[in-house]
Amino acid sequence: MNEPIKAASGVMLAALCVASVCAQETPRTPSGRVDLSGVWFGGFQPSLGAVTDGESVCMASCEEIEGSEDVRMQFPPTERPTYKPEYLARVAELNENQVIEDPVLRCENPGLPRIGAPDKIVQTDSELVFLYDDVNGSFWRVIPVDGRGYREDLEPTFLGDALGRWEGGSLVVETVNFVDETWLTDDGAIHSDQLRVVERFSRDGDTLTYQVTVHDPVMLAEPWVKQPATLNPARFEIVESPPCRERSLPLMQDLSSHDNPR
Amino acid sequence: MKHKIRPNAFIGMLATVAISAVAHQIFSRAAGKSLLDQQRGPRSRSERMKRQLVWALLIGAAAGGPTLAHHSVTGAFDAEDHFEIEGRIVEVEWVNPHVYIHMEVTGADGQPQRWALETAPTQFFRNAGVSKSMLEGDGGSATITGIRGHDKSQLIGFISRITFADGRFIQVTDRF
Repeated sequence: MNEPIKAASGVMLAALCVASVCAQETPRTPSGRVDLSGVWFGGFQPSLGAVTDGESVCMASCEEIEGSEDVRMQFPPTERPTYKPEYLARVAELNENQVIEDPVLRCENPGLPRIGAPDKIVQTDSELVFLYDDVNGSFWRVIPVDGRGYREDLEPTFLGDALGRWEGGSLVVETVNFVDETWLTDDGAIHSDQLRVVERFSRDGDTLTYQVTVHDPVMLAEPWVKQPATLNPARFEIVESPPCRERSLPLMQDLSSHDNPR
Repeated sequence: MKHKIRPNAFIGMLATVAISAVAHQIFSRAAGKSLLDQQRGPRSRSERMKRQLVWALLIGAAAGGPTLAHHSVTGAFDAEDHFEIEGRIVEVEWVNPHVYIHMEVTGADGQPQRWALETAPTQFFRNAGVSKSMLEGDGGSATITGIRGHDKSQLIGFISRITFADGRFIQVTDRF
């Protein structure tokens, strides 16, 4: 084989390696399940892109620090569920008075799916534990994956009663038994106590795809399929969230002026 | 200490700032002691290198858009009424959904005034490597810029930047 052919072969092998052979393997537990353990982040994590010159910190672009004139990124369009006609007026009314009505602005539990993907997952063969380091507080869920059924002795809760199952390499979590006090989004998206949330976690290497479908046969015209979120291993540990004490709501002049995208 | 308010100083800049987030950047440059070093004392070379590496690994989207706040910033604060006050940071409330910084300034009448200034959630500062003690500074004078509340009878505001006496600063947002 002459030198040019050798070189070309090397480049091709390298390309193949990048494409498949040498791609990062998906971690597995000793029992062979896809390992979802770890701290994850995704979506919008403001200030993770902070830059410093060793003395000052730019959590948003500023002229003094080289590298802080960043490429700007637009937020994706807000996703909203589709309601049955009889609920549209109520949702619109709540939306117009979000500052007064939104439970999240009173530091309450955001509920599912508004709380988003878990910040940390602890996995065993029989259950997974989801931990949330949220602005509204520290929350947790236990997800049995040992084939048991839903408990019948539980009162409804903000984050519901969850059961998990493995479908191929994906974890599917179905959660029911919710209170009807939370919103699905920040714009008045209420739900009934018949809410059922299906979450699917699929890991490929260091990429975790989080897919949520929301079912509410009472209020929604159709299941709400949210856009998948992509998460990656975080390089930090979660900590207990400081107390949530919202104080500026009495100062609000525009009751519908809300821009909290979750 | 002196107290000066410069309303509407940055209206033009505000007009150019769209609702957006800043995409990730990787950048680190060695330049003397970091804020962390000053708060926690001298570090070894390896510790400093590790710290700089941590900065270099900070990847993600930065504040500037709606997620800066639990609620709408402009619902409570007047985006067209900018302030700049110089005084002493006397208290940092490390709470969610907004950290509060209390600054004591000398009013025009020579009497001390206490401003209550709202800023980003704790997670945002933590993700940027900014601790409560870094916000507290060394107890000396500092300058804070931001926007005042709609209610002008109260000494309240939302912070865009804190600049310490030695020139170091923490820019929280470029929206205002």
